[in-house]
Amino acid sequence: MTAEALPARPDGVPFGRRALSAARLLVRRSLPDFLVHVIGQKRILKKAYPGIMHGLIFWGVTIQIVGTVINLMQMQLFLPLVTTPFLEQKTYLVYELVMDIAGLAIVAGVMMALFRRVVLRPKALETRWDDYYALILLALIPLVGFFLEAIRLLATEPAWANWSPAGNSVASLLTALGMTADTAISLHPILFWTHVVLGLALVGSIPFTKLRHLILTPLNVLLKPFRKEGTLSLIKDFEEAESFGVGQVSEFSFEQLLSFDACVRCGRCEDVCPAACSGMPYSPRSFVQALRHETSSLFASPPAASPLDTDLMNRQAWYCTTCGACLAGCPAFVNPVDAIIDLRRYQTLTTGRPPQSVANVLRSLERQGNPWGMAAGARTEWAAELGVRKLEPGDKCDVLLFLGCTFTYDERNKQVAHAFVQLLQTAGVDFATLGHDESCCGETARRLGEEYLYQTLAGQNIETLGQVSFNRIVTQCPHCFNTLKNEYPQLGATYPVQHYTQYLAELWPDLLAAANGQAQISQNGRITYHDPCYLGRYNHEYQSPRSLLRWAGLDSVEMVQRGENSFCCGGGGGQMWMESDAETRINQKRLADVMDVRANVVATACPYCLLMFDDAIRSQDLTSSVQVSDIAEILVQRLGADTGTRLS
Amino acid sequence: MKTQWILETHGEPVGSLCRFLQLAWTQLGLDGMLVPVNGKGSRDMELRVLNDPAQLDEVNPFRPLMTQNTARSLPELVGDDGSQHLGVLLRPCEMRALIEMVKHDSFRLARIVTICVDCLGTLPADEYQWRAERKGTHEALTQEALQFARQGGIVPYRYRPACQICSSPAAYGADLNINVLGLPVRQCLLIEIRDEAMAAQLHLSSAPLPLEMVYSPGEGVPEPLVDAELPAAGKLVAQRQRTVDKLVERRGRARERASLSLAETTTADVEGIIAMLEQCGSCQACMEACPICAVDFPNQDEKGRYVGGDVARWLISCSGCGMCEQACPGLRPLSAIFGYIRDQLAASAGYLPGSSVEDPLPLAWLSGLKFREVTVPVERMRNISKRTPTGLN
Repeated sequence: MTAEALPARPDGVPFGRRALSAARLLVRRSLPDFLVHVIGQKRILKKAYPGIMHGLIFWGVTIQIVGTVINLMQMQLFLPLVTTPFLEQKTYLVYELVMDIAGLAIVAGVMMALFRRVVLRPKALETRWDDYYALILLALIPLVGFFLEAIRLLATEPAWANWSPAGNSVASLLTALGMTADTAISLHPILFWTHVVLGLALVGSIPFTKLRHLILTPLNVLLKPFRKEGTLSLIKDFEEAESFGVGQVSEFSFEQLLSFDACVRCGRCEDVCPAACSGMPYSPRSFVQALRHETSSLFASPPAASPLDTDLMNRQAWYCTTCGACLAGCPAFVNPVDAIIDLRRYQTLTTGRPPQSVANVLRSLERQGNPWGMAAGARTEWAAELGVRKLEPGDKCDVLLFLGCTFTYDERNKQVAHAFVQLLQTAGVDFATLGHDESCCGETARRLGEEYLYQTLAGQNIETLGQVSFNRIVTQCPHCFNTLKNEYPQLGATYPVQHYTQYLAELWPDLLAAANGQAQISQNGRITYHDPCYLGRYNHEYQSPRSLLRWAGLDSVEMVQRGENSFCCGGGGGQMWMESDAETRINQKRLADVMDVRANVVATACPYCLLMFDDAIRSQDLTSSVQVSDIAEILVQRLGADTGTRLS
Repeated sequence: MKTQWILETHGEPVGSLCRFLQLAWTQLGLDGMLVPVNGKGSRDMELRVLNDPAQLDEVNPFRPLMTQNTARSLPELVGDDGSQHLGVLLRPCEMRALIEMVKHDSFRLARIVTICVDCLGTLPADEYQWRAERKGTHEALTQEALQFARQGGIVPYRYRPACQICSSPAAYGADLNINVLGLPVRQCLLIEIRDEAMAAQLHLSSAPLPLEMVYSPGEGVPEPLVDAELPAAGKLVAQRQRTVDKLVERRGRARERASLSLAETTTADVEGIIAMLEQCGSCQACMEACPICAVDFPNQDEKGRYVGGDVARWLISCSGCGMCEQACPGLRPLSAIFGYIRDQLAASAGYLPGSSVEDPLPLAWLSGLKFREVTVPVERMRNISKRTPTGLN
């Protein structure tokens, strides 16, 4: 139900001008992506072998198509339109060379692809009939083309034959086999028509085979919804909409339906999806393919109204952690997360049948204003002995510390909040919190599909924030950070928001000076940093946390999946509060990555990551060999700040 | 022939409806009206017979709370002679219960004017209390319910289980049906009147095209639809129908799932229910809350067992109001259980409970039913009470 790709139709503006402004907007927003990701193949090239393979085929085919069009324009048919044939002399020779190279590229790419499908067989690759159909067709067209060129060269024996290296080689081969110019001339029509028929078959099979991605994927890159990264679509018309979320495939937006069709099942999403990798019965690829299959039922006659409100789909909606790994990796820019949220919205808002654990957490959010179900009145208990100032309406401060529910209520994370407060106090920062007036930012509710509750909670916070003044909001929780920074502006409230690692990176010189000059030198053990999804992938903050560790004198080792490719801890998207199968825990999979680099401290900067790691460590009884710490805690230790708190 | 009217609300759906009810009261010459009103406690609700149209200001049929089935108290009020000319404000489930009650006991509806209002769903009593307390007023909860009239309600997991699986939330079969589902209630609602004679009594029949007429409360005489802001009547009717269809379809699926989870249990038939009631000992809370039992209480034989035919006759009339579930101290998912049995019985008898007083109870079919004697182990009964009615969870 995302309809933010184009501006709403302004009434009274003539269609022509509307179309023009829409097109201009499209070009401005989408052209860079189109150039980089379609023409430049950037995301596809992230993986070397399939990247080069696809690149060879893509550029080869593109050049061949352009070349064939140019060639057609030279024919008698078009002469009245194209009066001067420009394929003459030198230009023609270059043209011949380029076309030969493009043809060779296609053949090479197809060979790589066949080798990959038949011999290498990577796990994520699934094969259907049209995969072979497309490859064989793509190989035959240039091969027949080379033979055609060869017999043309044989028959005419031009002086410039070397400008067509491939055709010329085939020609030499045929001569060696004893073919004469006469045979060549008689063979020419057969080969010519075979070449033409194959080419037309390729075009003709676009709608019925995976070749549809030739059209649909570039189109999807152009038309994909434009929203700030890290935001979900906003339900604006609460009173007008007929229902919320998506209960039937026809309720997806046009752009979403297009995106399901643009998927070529390459499996990169499945490769990186934490749920799929941990063995949960969910894969973004199968999910999108299932939606695509449903979409095709819309065209059956009579059109089948097939509800997505089935037990299978209802369960599918609840495995996703919204970590965004699938989004970052998808070369076709398909967005399964949006579709998941649409299904969740339908279940929570419209049918009222989310899983029990989801209903429970939503109830807690509503009743107590936090997902933990703790008393709202206990919101300031965490800071009882710290002397943290509470901002009353009308008050001012430099840094407004937006705590977040987890730091307020969870025992383990209270220690992290204490550590950060100590750092702020050490550096003498003028900071304050909202105390009891802070309410959950609403991220959990939103990711669980309860948009109405999200907007209610956000509305409360926006009202409170409007009554105080501050220079910036700093929060320790990447989820609060993302929601305050990227999602509240959808509701008309824009604030300068920083994650605490960003703020500390700015504050570092002061902090260091206040903590008597230097960090401790010695380092015990190996430390590795785990990128939280909502700090890293959604907000591209990979450096600040790492810089802080480095400045604090710590050498860290990197895990294989890091930065943009980080692997979710399993706690996002509301999963923190949902029941999961003990056999398929994402956090244990991630802990294995930590163990692989033989780190004995995993540093993170997110309360959920902290808890998920903590849980994984305890459940595997590894407390003696590895521990998890928040960066704030590590800094307090390293700087020897005057701590009154227990640090684990 | 029934006629439909647009009632303009000018931003105040509750107030406009109250004024329309006042008009109905005076024009139809009622002696009183049985309505739910705010109780003594700030957040309670009670049934009261009003005897002055001015008191209607207190009435609010859209409040998402139902503490008892209004139909249940009607027989007492009407009296044996049926002399009272009463109006009664009902939810669709209460309307269905009333229709069935008439068939079980031959009390007459002749002097009763039934007014049925589309149901936007109701919350469990404790949930309602908590919300009302937090918001400070009943008013806010009503406003929230009305805000989502367009979709037929929002966040239904908060509703009473009976409402979650109710597949007939649309007002139907009353003398006056008030439609709000799918409508822009802050602009207007639709009123469906039983026949032209009654419309005439309400001064609404002089117009040649009733559907295109607008009744603005306070102005007395209806005027042709001139307000361009208001959607055309045909569009409104279609829009409501679409929303009702969608609701029915969704709730129907929820109902199916609830049934699936019950089909395997011991209470999936009349014998099972009799065994269950036996386990409940002397507790008859469900029957005491049930409108059907108010006129036709199932008999027990000399051994204390409920008579099979009586129980079947009771349950085939179930209107799905869920008052039994709300009353059950054993927290059994009775709305799902009784709803399931009702569906089974009604389907085999080819009977549509609650649809019309003209359609008689299938007494012959019911008397042909044979019942075995079943005893259910206590252990298994305990399991049932823990089962959630929705199955998915």
